[in-house]
Amino acid sequence: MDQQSIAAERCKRTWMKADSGDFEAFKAQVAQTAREEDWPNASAVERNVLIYDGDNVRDMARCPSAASN
Amino acid sequence: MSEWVEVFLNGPGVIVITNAMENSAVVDEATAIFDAVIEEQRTTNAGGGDHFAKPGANDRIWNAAEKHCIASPDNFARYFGNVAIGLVSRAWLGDSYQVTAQVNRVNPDGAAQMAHRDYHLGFMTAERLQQFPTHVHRLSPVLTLQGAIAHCDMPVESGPTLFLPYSQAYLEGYVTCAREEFQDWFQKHHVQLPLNKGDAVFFNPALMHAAGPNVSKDIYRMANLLQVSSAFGRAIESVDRTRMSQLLYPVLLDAQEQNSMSAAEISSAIAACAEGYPFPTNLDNDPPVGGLAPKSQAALMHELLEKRVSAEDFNAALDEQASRKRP
Ligand SMILES: [Fe+2]
Repeated sequence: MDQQSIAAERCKRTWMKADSGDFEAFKAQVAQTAREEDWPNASAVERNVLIYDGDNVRDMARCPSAASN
Repeated sequence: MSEWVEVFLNGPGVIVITNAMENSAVVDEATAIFDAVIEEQRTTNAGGGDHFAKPGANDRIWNAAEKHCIASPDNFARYFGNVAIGLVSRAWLGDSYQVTAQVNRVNPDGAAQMAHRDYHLGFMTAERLQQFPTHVHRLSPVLTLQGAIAHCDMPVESGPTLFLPYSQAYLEGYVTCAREEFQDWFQKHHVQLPLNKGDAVFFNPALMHAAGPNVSKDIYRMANLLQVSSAFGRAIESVDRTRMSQLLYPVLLDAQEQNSMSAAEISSAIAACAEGYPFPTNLDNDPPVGGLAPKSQAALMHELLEKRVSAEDFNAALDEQASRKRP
């Protein structure tokens, strides 16, 4: 790569343009599905939103070892 | 809670804590306080405009944290003396975070918001965004945690917030958010969950979201929107934290005496009130001693509370510290 293209590549990496961002990549990003097994402290996963039970959260806050998990 | 760090960073980006407010009487009392502030704003025409919404569709209380603390330091202490709020704020932002709050009451017929990202970069035009290099686009979400406390039951028809999970981790999201195909995708694929009074939602401020339309007949959908800032960011609002600390201190002193609040609850209340970080300061008057940071307002409050110093002496120490920090 010559010096000019190094500079151009670097500029592209460090600055966004009004048309930056690829719609297909965005769709792939938001197409993910949350799996319950990945979030052991959650009491449920509803429509990709993780639900935590307030009583469990208060228990975790009381127990420093759980809170740091 | 490293689980929450990953939820916000690369995971779905949003959590609900059900029954985050253990005592619903505390929420009801706060609701009454906010209703009174809104009523007063209406009669005096104060309150000003709103972003993302047409006038009349909703009522806003800017700087609700300070107004709450002034109206009832006691209710403020019970409301923010909440270990769940403390735990999630600390998980995302680390120590010395700063709480601001804005109440939003969306009235029947209140329209949906346009999908957006939040403060900092979420409040900029596409033009302005290009003046910040890409690594700052990565940084912005780390400086804030967005939250909301439900002050009434919010069935879907009342319009609780719409979210697009995982959208926070899309790097170019600030510049693409307003673009038509991204807005259309949000319209088709957003999720919306009903909330109960006392539930809390927390999300990465880069998550695409929008308040939903209130198509109910009679639900005045009130939420207290918490914007929790990193010690290293600039909070969105200027708040008179010295005044708040003076009002809160005697309440916490009493709660400590009566054992009516745990140490962790007192800690969370202080974090929501006092300035948590010692900088910026006036280094001539408030120098780092032995290379260590000078004391923050919150640290002073903790220290004097532990020593059971009277409110009068605390006020004097607080004023003295504030004057040392002034330029
Ligand atoms: Fe927002």
